[in-house]
Amino acid sequence: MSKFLEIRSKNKDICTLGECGGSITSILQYLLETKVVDGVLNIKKYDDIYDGVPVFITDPKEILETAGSLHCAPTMVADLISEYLDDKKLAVVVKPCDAMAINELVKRNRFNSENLFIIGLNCGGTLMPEPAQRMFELFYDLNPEDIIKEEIDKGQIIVLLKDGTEKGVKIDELEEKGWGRRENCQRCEVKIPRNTDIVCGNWGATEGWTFTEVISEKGVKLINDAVKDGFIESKTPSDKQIEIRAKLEKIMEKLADKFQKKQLNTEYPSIEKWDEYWNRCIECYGCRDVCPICWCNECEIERFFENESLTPPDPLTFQGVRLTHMSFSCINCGQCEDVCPVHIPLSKIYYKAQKNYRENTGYIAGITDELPPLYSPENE
Amino acid sequence: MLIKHTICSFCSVGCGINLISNNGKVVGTYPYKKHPINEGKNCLRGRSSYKDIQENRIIVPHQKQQNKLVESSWEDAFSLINESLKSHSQDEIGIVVSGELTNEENAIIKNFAESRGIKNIGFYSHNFPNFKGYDDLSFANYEDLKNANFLFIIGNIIVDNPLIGRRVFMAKDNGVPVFSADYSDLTTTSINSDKHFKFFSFSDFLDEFPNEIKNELNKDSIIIFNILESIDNFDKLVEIVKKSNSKILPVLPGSNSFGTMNYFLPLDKNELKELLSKIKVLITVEADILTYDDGDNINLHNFDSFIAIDTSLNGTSSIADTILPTSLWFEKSGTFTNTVGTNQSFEKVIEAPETTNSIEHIFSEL
Amino acid sequence: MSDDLKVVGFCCNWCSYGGADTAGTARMQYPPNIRIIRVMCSGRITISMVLKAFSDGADGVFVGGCHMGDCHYSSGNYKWRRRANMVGDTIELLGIDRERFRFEWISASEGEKFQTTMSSFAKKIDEMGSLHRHFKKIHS
Repeated sequence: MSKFLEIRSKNKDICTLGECGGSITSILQYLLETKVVDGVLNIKKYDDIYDGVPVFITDPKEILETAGSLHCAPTMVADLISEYLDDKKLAVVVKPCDAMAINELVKRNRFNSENLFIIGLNCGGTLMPEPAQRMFELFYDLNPEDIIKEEIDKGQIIVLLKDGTEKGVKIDELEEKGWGRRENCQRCEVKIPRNTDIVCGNWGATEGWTFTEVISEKGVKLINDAVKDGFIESKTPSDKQIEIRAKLEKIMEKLADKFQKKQLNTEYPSIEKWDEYWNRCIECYGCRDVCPICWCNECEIERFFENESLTPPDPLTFQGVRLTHMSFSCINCGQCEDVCPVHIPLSKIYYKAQKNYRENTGYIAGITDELPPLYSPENE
Repeated sequence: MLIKHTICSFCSVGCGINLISNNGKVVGTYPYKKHPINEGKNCLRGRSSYKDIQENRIIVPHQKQQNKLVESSWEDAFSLINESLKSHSQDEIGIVVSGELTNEENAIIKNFAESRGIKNIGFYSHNFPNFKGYDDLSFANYEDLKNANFLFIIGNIIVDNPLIGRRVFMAKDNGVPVFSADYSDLTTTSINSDKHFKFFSFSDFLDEFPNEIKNELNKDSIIIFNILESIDNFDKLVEIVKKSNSKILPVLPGSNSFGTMNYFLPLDKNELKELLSKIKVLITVEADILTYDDGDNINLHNFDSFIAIDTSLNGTSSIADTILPTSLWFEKSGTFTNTVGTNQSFEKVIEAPETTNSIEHIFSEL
Repeated sequence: MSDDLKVVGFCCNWCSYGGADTAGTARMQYPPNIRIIRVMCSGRITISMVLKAFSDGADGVFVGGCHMGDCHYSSGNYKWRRRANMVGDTIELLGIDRERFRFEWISASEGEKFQTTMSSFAKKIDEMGSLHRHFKKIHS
């Protein structure tokens, strides 16, 4: 089979309901209906398009609820698998950060990747739901409730309204003014998650089809079987399409690089600013608890800070210890920053530490196949 | 595994939180990033409250026999309670509710009390008064914090109510000056304030209110506080506020203290003691009286009959003659009114154990 | 070296601590500011310990282990070396000059190396002065 494919659902309804021909919806249905997996972990709309929540589905009929893509859903599913679903055969639809977190957890034997079908999505970034709504009011002059769909395409954040009209604003313009995608997404350098079984997306795709890169042997078998059982159909994309996709990826990577320089170097907070941030810390352990990499049953920080205190913890032994425990595996998912009640830009320091570690050892969190060199028992 | 939205029941800020349930049990939390109040951020106590409230859970009715609590059936429990209710006049019966019940439950209890003519009813509001009596005060909402030009904080708000603390930081980042006052001079709030005042008595502090703060107060400034020593404190504060026309943001304890004030009289510690001294039959509804300020000095042993409607075996309910188990916050649907008066409804996350009953059912049987 | 400066030195039982001992019995002078903590192996030392030392008031932290290949437990010092390489970057992110941390391989017979290392490290710390952190040090 060729490495690159275009696929779409053979079910007409799903084809129009889902994104780009509903391929993922149909693949998931295939997996559930033929009982290849026990369940599917995906994101679904809870109340509206700004409210994406992970959902575990065992009934093939419910798969339709997860059709379509959501950009205001900065979720993380990797730790859900290790906490609650590690005993199941599972198909999971992931953004690059989810895929990288899964990679780190699998290396730590938190669950078995053989039980897992990982379907990756090209990802240009996510938006925080509340600021996104304010942004649509301010820059689009729209009532956020009238928007039924959003999309990131051609350097714009495009919204589709109830009445069928579209409106787009350039991402650059929005992000210059401090809106747009989350900061982590702006600097994220993995746009196509290749540590998965297949990756799907619309970059380079024909209208109504999904451009798919098949990566693992499991992925090859998955596509072949889904085609054979009549859930999806496939065709080979032209060289031109492959080129367009590669080009788009390059552009996105370059942009990420620009943001990295800005956020981690030129505009990186000074030590004085960091001390101001550390003085805010309320020792809520939100960053630790949400971190997909952190999972120790007994946490060393808790030993240092057994007594409840009225004042912030010393950053050397609080954030510092966390820094030495997980920063080499930081995948820049930004969850710590998202949940910090006092707005400490945590993921900047963790990710900067991983970049340092990468420079010294070559270890890329979430991508490198082996465990970080720190774990090595070898003499070298 | 199922993730569902709900409203945090730990304090009155009204944050959204997602609860994860697995096999009919709540096992974890997940950030609720779309919620306008907290955008997925929760404090430690909020995130762990689902665990804490399940401790010492009680799921079958209990009755005291020879000074020991033994399991009983709902029928027996109800008939015993109804007997003692019948043998006492309405003035001898008192009900103490808590600020953590939903508005719907409060309405049911209020109906019950009115239909029986029970007047001895109220809840401990940690000395916060009923704001209905202060019509001319202007109350701040969360959006106002952003547009304020001066914030004055009383209490360690940043640690006690971090999701208000978050908005204080947002204001601070916009250059808004922040002053604070507290019993201690070294707290996370004091460290992050431009100026901090330490006091030994809140009341004395209000009597000799520093000019430095007075001079900063104006109609666009906000006073945030989460402690009051007595209702008297509040009146003193109101005088200061009225002179400057500034707004106030009281942060109440109890997820629905604000809503409960629409139904029942808020009591301070003296009023609560007085109520308890008048009655012979006490019904508590999720009210752990012994943990309140000065709770050590309250005697709950002298009632003819003491009925605790509660979710867990705590200091108060373990003294009761009868315990009626009811559902936890995430086992019921309803609405909470948060500290700025916003009504937020939430859905049940899991089913309550079959052997417990809802407040609605319990009061319909009494 | 000024007397109020403090250097914490973690020394492994088999080599560096022996080195310190050798320096002592041979009456080699080295600054008294160093407080030696004997550990069984440099592989026992975690970065948290270094951070805790700084947090508790150390102005410099030194770690001594056996030469590569000489570890009593065969691979402890290799493990420590992988960690040690991370320390500089980490403390720098937290606002501490990386020069305030040093690690060295000193065998039990190298009393002189222990002496010179300590003297030069103490000199360096003396130059930098006491560790001033912007973060509010809170003593209750």
